Amino acid sequence: MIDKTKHVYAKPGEYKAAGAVPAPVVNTAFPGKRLKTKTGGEKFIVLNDLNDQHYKLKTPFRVKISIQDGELLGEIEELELYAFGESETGVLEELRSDLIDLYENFSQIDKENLGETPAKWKQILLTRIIETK
Amino acid sequence: MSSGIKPFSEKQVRKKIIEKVKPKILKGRSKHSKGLIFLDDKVVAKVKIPNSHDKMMFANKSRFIARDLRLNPSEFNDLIDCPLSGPGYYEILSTRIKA
Repeated sequence: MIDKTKHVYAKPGEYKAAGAVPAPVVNTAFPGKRLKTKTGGEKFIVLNDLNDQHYKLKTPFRVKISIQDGELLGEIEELELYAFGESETGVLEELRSDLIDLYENFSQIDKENLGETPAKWKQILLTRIIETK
Repeated sequence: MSSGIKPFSEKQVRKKIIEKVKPKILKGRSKHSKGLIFLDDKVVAKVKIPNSHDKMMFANKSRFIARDLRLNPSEFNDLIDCPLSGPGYYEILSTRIKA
């Protein structure tokens, strides 16, 4: 019998051999909370980086991952961004590209030329993405 | 189909968005084009534009494009199927968006 109260976590790949419970996924965006998979095949993951030499994230984005007719769908809801793909990696890559594209374009547009929702998108992008070049 | 959006080819959706909505196409690194939609000289929406493939696009994907365009499923079908013109689209948009 596994005693989960002792928090003896196995290293990856040792789950069966050690008879211990797997270690929880560390949620760096929301410290103290564990990532959960919701009903309906949805889960939330944290996008911590942009994998780009010119841009990085000051604060992470929460990405909702779900399965839609056999394809993975990733959404950053506050920016109305979405990407479909066959793998989580592919979905996240597309979202990273979309974030950078939007940042580069919206940062060139004055606030008075943006409607209410796009102005909010710009604010989110400028607050959370920083240029490193 | 629960959302009511008909299946269309990606190429068909792309063509109608470009011809009727005439978004300003953004340059970028993403594999899908994105466009900005203007109303009264202000950006009011953005849309992800499908690639020019013959592959069919079903409601699970096209509902996001409809959302981007601020159209309901029936209006989206009309935009792609033809009854809804470009000016007609912008009339609908102006009722939904605060520029």
